[in-house]
This record gives sequence, C-alpha cells and structure tokens, in this order.
Amino acid sequence: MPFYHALVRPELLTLEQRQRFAADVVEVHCDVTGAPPSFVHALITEDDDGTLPEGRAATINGTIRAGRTDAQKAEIAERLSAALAAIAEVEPESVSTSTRDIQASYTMEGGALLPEPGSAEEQAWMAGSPTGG
Amino acid sequence: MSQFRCFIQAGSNADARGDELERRLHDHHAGHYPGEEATVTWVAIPQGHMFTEGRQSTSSVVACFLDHTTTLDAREAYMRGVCDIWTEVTECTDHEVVVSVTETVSANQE
Repeated sequence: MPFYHALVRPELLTLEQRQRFAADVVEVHCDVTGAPPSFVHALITEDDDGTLPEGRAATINGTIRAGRTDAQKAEIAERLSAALAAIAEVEPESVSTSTRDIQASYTMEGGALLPEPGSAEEQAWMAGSPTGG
Repeated sequence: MSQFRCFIQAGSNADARGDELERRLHDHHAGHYPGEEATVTWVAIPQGHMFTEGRQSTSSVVACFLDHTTTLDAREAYMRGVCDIWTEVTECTDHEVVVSVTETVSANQE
C-alpha cells in the first residue's frame, strides 16, 4: 500500500511505457507523501471489456492510507494523470485519477499493520522499511 | 458470504500452488468464523503489468472481504494468518504479500 491501478485503452502502453509510468507512480506518491518507495504498487491492465467512457484513454484509481490531506490527494491525481498522458501521448483530459482512503489498520504489509500517516509509529516503520523510508 | 480476492503474479509460486493456498484460506476463515465458508477468486497478472517500487513485482495482494465487523485485534490476527499462509506455502517474504480487510457489513447489520 499504496496500490494504484491504471485501467488503460487496449494497446495504449508498451512494456517500456508501463515501466516508465510505474516509476512515475513511485516518484509522485513518495514525493507528495514521504512514504517509503518499497511499498508503492502499480497495476496496469487493459480495458478489454470496453468499460472506459467514450474519449477516455485511461483511469487511475489509487488506494492509499487515510490521513492524507485533500491538497496531497489533488496533487497526486493531477501529477499522475499528467504523467500517464505524457507517456501515452494522449490529451491530458483523457486521463482521470481518483484516490480512495483505507484506514491503515485494515492493511498488513511487511508482516505488520501499516501505521497511521504522521504517527510516531510511522517514523519507526519508515526507518525499518527495506528502503529506509 | 465472505470472499478472498487474490491478485498474484502469473508463473509465480502462488500461481503454481493455488490449490493449497485456497484450501488453507478456507481453513483459516473457518477457524475464525466457525461453520462459515468463503469464496476465493484469483487474478493472475501477466509479467510486465504490476510493479513494486517501479520494478517488476513479485508481490501478491490478498483482499479479504468479510461479512463481519472486526476489532483491531481480531483483524490483525486474521491478516497475520493470511500472511503466514502465504509465506509458508509460496516461500515468499512477508514484504511480498499485502493483505487487506474490507468489512462488507456495518455493525448494526451483524
């Protein structure tokens, strides 16, 4: 956690473009939140069922720990939409991003419950994470 | 009915040992909620579609949808059990399994 899922138009992204986007997800999320990069997951699937609305190239849904500010969430959404649009060479308006909060204590990763953002437990957790926070 | 939704990497140990994982998940759920069954669904993610820290992921994500409300202690024990199953059966590290709980009922429905 966080877990970002990008649903993209079929054949929108090559493997190299998916890799670039995954790297951008790490950069944006960690830059905005200060979270350790080793916990950032990005899943990219193609819209084989045609569920994307007309004119939409991709949607990104992020599940993130509750406690981030509205400004942080807005910045994440704006930067991820822009990043994917740039990589895919599509209009920025054709990519939308939303985030969903999940309480930290409802997720276990690295064998431990995730700490609440900004808590004292988070400081210890970040110091002990594989990439040292 | 409660449900496990498991996202795994295609070709991984989790993919190869799905039958054992599924049996263990059923036993685990029944251990916490006697007499109850749970469904298990699988999504095998092809290589090159999931990344952790920007690199090809080796992680599994196990989303548990419980028809129960939970206390912190009960939830932690439940998720730890799933984590232990995964590390034992697939030989992954505990950094390669993400477990989440979503309560699909509210307290006044239970």
